Amino acid sequence: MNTHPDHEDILASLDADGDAATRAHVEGCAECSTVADRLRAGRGLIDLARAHEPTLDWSRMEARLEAEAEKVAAEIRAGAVRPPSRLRSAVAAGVMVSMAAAAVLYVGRGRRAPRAPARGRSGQHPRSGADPGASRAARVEARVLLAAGGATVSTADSSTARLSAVSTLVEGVTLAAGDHGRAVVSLRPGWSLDVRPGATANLRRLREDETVVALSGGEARVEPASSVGEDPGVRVRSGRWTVHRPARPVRDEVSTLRVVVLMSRATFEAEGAEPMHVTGPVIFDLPATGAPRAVQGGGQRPRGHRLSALNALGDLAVLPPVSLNATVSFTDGGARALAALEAVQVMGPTTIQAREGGRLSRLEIGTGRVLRWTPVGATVAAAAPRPRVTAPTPAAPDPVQTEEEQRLRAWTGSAVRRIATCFTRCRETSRCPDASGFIRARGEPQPRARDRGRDGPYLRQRSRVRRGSGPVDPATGRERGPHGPHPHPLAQR
Amino acid sequence: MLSSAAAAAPGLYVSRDDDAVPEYVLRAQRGDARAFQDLFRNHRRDVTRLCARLLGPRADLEDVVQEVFLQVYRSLPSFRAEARFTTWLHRVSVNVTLMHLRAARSRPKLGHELTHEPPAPEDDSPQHNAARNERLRALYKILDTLAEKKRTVFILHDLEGVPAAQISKMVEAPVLTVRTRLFYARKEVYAAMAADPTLASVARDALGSDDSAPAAVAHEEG
Repeated sequence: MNTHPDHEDILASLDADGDAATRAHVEGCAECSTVADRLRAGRGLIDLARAHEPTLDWSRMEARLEAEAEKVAAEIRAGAVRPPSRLRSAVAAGVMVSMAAAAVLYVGRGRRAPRAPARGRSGQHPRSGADPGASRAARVEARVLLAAGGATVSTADSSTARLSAVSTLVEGVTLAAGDHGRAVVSLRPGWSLDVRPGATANLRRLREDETVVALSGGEARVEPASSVGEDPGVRVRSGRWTVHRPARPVRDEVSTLRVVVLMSRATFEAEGAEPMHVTGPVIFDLPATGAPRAVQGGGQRPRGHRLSALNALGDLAVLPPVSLNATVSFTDGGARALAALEAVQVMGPTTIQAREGGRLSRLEIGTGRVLRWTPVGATVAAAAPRPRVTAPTPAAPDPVQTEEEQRLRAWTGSAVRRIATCFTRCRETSRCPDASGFIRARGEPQPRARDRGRDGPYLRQRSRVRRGSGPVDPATGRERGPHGPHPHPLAQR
Repeated sequence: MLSSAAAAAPGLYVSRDDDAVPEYVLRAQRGDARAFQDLFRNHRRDVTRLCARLLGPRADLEDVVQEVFLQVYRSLPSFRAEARFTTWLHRVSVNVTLMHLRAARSRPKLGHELTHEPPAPEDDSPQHNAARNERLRALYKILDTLAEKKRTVFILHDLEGVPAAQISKMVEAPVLTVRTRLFYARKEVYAAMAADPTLASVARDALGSDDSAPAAVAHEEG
């Protein structure tokens, strides 16, 4: 049996007021004496570290920071960045409380006694814990919207296959995203399930009148999660997770704003994977409030922000620093394109600014998670007359720009022009079924969801633009845009 | 014990009792460039010390401190005064430093890493500096065996002297969690120290060139 005192007792015995019995043991025991010597030395090193006062060349650093401070101060004075007001804090708190209440109500509904029977069904509405075989409603199939990074699907007979756009997702299958993968499926029109990296989700019931998803690890998200409509159908059995390892529902990411950055070429480096080169648009999330998720300064004057990204292939990766002058376009995250959009710029990690007819507007997330444009600052000098939509104002050419850079810049400007045109001309019935150009959703178009989640823009089939501003096609009775149908902008490349 | 010693050690974290936001912070939030300079000058020592203790003897201390202040400048408009400014500042410092450490871990290491060699005081000898850095390296070799969360709490509490309640705000964890992490961190640190045969010799070797060696080490020699 081990009779030696533990390390804390030995360390305490070294002090003048330490325990005498322990001290006597340490002095008489060779093993404890050695340990005491080492602990004493370790404590001495900690004391040394504590007393150590590092110094730096302050003047050099101050000079470096001075320019940045001046820039930030100028942005604040110009109104591009505003200090938070009490009112805005109160409104934000109110929104949070409302959302929390909605979430509680939603969970409560899922656990309550059965509601009124659904139309077309006989008998009792199944509860969360009801016998899976009780419902006689017809089975439905889920559709794959996105499969990336080695996501797999397992059937009830334990056969596992790589998830793809043609995978058959019937009741009972299990989706596993894998360590670096991700799977997004449409459970039924208007409802999507996003299985995050490391998560496993079982589609326990896929019926016309009920859908049950069980998460057995990691994080997943069902959207719209907080909006319970007339026929919610989808039930997330939050109280009945089968947890094989620490799991939790993904947190509500209402503060993210998804935008598309048109970059000429980007290299993504994900941990444990080979670098991937992507040419063309890149999607990334901007947090609407607070600090960006990750910021890596590139040298002394970081020119961009490193943010988590979902690239064109649907893989999670780390976005390299994005220039603050990068042009962006929106995947219709609820914010309608401005009527006379002239330029859109990422002004900072949380600020997207647009110019419209000589007026500056900033994109904000308002009450109800509705994106809105808010005029900011003073009116800028009116731009020269332009067509309804034009390309962003090109930045002054860099004197040391290479020929290739100039060519890429020209291509980017051209793509922005085409996409901007699409956003204002297209209608839901136009020929731009996938204006974002990234995810091709199959099947029927999903209905408008009042509650747009972070992936909402991707999971809809068509770009959503304003109605009522273009001529009507006499053949179809549908609006066809002021300039008639046109091909998808990216197809013109 | 270490915690009690930390509270009395000089140059440690000083908790400011006033909840009022410093006037230069308010001015900086209104876009006063001069106020940013005041902010830097008033807090650079605290931030540098905190970053240095989290980083250990590394060559990139200056980069990290600079990045902290860049981040502070950029995020200052979002500071809502819901916590003391120093708490917010230290939280930003901890986050930036940890991100830097994570990024450094994921980068391939080519050759030996440089260590931070701070400008030596005029009355300090090169031997003294070298010995001190050698001993700091020995300590951080032990601390680096801890998981990141435990390491952070241990350094903030036992080296920096930050109270557990403040740490909980910095790392955004309950106080009880902070105390639990601290408990296990100390346990692991003591175990690593007790099992390290080179520890006593490192302290002993460096002692000869360091007149200001801590009393505990001097006692060992005596």
